[in-house]
Amino acid sequence: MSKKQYNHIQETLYQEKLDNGLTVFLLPRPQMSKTYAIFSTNYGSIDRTFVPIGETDKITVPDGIAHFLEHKLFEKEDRDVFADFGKQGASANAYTSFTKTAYLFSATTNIEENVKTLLDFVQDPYFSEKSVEKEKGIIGQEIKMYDDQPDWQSFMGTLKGLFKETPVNIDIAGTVESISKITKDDLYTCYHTFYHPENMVFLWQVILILNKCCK
Amino acid sequence: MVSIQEEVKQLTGFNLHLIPNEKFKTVNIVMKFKAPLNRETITKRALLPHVLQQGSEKYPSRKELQVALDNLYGAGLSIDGGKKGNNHIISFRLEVANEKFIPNESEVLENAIRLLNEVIFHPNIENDSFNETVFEREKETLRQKIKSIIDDKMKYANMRLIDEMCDGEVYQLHVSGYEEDLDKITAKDLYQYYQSLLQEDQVDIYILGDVDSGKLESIINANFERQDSPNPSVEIEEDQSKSSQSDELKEVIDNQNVQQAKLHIGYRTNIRYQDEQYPALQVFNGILGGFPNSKLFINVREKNSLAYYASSRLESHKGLLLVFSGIAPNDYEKARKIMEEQITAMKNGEITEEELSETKELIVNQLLETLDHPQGIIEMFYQSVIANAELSPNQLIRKN
Repeated sequence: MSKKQYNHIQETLYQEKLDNGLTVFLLPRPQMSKTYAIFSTNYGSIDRTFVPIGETDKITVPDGIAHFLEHKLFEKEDRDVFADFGKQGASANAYTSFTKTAYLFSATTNIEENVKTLLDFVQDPYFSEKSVEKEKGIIGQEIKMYDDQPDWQSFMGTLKGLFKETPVNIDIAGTVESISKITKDDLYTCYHTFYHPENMVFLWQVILILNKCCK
Repeated sequence: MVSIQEEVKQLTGFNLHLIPNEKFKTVNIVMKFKAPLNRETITKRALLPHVLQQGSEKYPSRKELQVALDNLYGAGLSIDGGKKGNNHIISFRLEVANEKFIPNESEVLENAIRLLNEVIFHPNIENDSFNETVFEREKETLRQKIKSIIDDKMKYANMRLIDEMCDGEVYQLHVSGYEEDLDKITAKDLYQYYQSLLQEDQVDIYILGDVDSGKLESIINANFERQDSPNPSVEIEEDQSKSSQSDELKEVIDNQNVQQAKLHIGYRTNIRYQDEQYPALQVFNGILGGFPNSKLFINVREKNSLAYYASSRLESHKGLLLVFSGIAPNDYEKARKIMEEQITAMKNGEITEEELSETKELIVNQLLETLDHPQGIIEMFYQSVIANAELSPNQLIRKN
């Protein structure tokens, strides 16, 4: 494990690449009540054309799929992961940008359980036709909400004007029309291609003693 | 858990709240001016933060003031106005690096407090009036701010909800003021009002950080000039006859050309921050709509796919419970029915042991997280000043 010391602000950051390829950062903050952990993958809305893992030909997936996948990872066959975090007193969230998807929580209790929940749920996808259809209504309203926001519309309009070819000119959430085409198989394809440890980073701001949390 | 406490000292003209804390690498100084909400003064109070932020006597331009802040290792100054219950509060917030982390420095804190004193008590004036150029420009800035509320549909719907719900009550007053009142204000009026504000408002100063309290008190005493003791804080007793409050449900539909409809519902709880039942109300709100496992989120969003957001929150000092969602216009009846069913379920006590214990834990988590932010800590302590009641963050956590 490598150690980076920032003496002037009295902080230390630890870094390690695990055997499975995952990059882990640990930031001890013993004075804080709150622990914060974030698990992210190097995959965002611009990754729409790619060669799926184990294949040879490029495919193009419907716009907004990275964000759609972010929503659907929270839902499992028998439960909603938001509720798991809730039971453990944590507040969870996730976001998708043009180039990254991140899952995170903050909590003041049950820290180890919450870290396990975070690592496990992101690595255990469950998509069904029914739950994919249900999400289309929810994300549809998320898109409509942004449609009424002048600042977001100006921002996207600027990107559309600046970039003719790069998919950064497409809204992260896609459109009501593009998300209507998403299937559970598309989600699995994207998941298996982009959500492997080699492509991911885990950062944990720890309040507990280091040798207990990382061997 | 790290327990956080404040030490309150009554000094001439203000209360000094010292909050020793080793969590942060900065020192936060917040000075709060509180006065009753009033239509006559609200627009002036909305305009003052804009004008004062543009400079002072010694640093008459935004640039010179910024350089002074930069010379304090990039200190941050912000001035804002807000509504809490029937009060209006102007907050001056200064955050500066704690000098103990800077080699060979021992005057950063004192210089920061001097700068804050300069901004508040020595504004940029000429002939008993704020500088005309600055004043006119900031008046336009505020005008644009007032005009743009309608472009933020969530904010606009909230404002309309309070307009209808609290018609005739001072709480209805718009925190950004009124365009028609703005036109009438001159630079001289505003300066005259500011002088009376400096004399009459109730003032509380909060200092949070890892600093020696003895040293602080002497710096504060040496630098803050406020001779007059303020009038004891006056609580506005609402004239109930003027209020539109009734038991009848009032439905208001505003038509606009939008992609998403906002369905906002307000309820009177008649329980405020200082009341015995407040912690119970907090848990009620949590179960109803405070979190992603609350009834509103589960039923409106997850089970029926009607909305991306469906939640609720409290106006603690006014005793209101507000419920929000963004829906397709055609789903209005359906969404409203489901939202009202959640309230009915709450009223009937359809609450599982699990919901209750999870929500309590989430609220405690939320409170503890707030205490990891310097501004969060200060705002939590200030709640007690507003409510005129002792309820420290630790007490609030225990009661949940």
